[in-house]
Amino acid sequence: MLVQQHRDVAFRVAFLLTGSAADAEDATQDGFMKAYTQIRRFKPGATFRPWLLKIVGNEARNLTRSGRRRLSYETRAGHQPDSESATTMPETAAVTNETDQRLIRAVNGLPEKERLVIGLRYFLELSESEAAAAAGIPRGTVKSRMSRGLERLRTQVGDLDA
Amino acid sequence: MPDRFEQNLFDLGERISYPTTPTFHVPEKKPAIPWRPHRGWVAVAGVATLVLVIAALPGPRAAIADFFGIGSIAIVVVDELPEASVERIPSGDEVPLREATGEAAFDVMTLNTEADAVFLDTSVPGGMVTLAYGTGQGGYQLLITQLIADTDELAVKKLLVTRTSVMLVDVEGNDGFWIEGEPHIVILFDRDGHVLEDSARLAGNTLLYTVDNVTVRIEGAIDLEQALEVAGELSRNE
Repeated sequence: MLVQQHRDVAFRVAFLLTGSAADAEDATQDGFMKAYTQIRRFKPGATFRPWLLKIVGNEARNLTRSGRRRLSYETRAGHQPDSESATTMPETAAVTNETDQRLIRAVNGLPEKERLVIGLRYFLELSESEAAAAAGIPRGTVKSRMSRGLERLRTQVGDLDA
Repeated sequence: MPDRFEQNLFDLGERISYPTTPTFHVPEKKPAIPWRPHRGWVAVAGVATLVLVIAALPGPRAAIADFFGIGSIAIVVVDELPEASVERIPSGDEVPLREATGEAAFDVMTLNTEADAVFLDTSVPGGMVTLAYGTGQGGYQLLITQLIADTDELAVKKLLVTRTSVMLVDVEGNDGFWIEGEPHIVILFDRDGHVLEDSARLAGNTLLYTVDNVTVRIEGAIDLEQALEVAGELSRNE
């Protein structure tokens, strides 16, 4: 039940952190096993998802310490990534509309740390505390990176209604 | 509230492509200690589906043996209860129902019968409203307490001794706990997570469940069937 409920978000967090579907699968599986065996460490009153994402995030970062592959986001209208090609998709992949195209290009052009936080917060819709747990950084760092990333995006993309 | 630019990012997120999520496995054998950390994790079908035999839990004496939780309430099992008030008097100030419903950050549910007293505790995150019925020796005979459920802040901690029994129950389609047997202690926390002074008190049989965004606690000299009837009436008046 727990695995079913959280498997998508856990796997996608790991994918954003590792840039590889294969590594993300390993990190998520290891994360679920650790959560299962360490359930007694779960604090009373806490919610489960940030705790799980922190564990999965740790596993993902451990897997990629030797060198993380740069992930470029693309929309579902483009090429469906698989375990071999997930990290090499071109930024110019087909997108659903002009707004998406402008935004996704700008996001993919962000510095890696800001791009990760933007992805966790906006694309996966994690809370700031969940994004902090997943990325293994303080919540204040999430806020500052998000702020800087948003500022760059606004400057680069401009008025989306224009 | 996200501004328009941020909303565009959220919208874009719904169209981002990810690899297909693989199948993940954990051992089919359940953990040695029964646990239930948050609402909605386990679908509970029917009353008395599972009795958690807390007395059988291992662990060092006087240490927290295990915990369960629902909404913004944590249930902690300990070997010994600290001293606490024995009177069934709710926390907060007695106020008119209208004031309580206006101040609470959720829709307060009521019974058809008007409460003898209504209490509002604004020090609890989101406010905590208690409908009190039947005055008598030892305080009120029935307390219906409601507080916001979907919060990261712990609002209430219930300490149970290992002789208390906890049963997972279905309450109007929602997951719930029925706590009976040995009295347990209710401790309230403020918005900063500090224990509210003098909030600790002994409680009797209790039905605890969440509905929508509200954690409901029905406590008194009642059995499970009566508590479920109260919950049903609350639900019909929602």
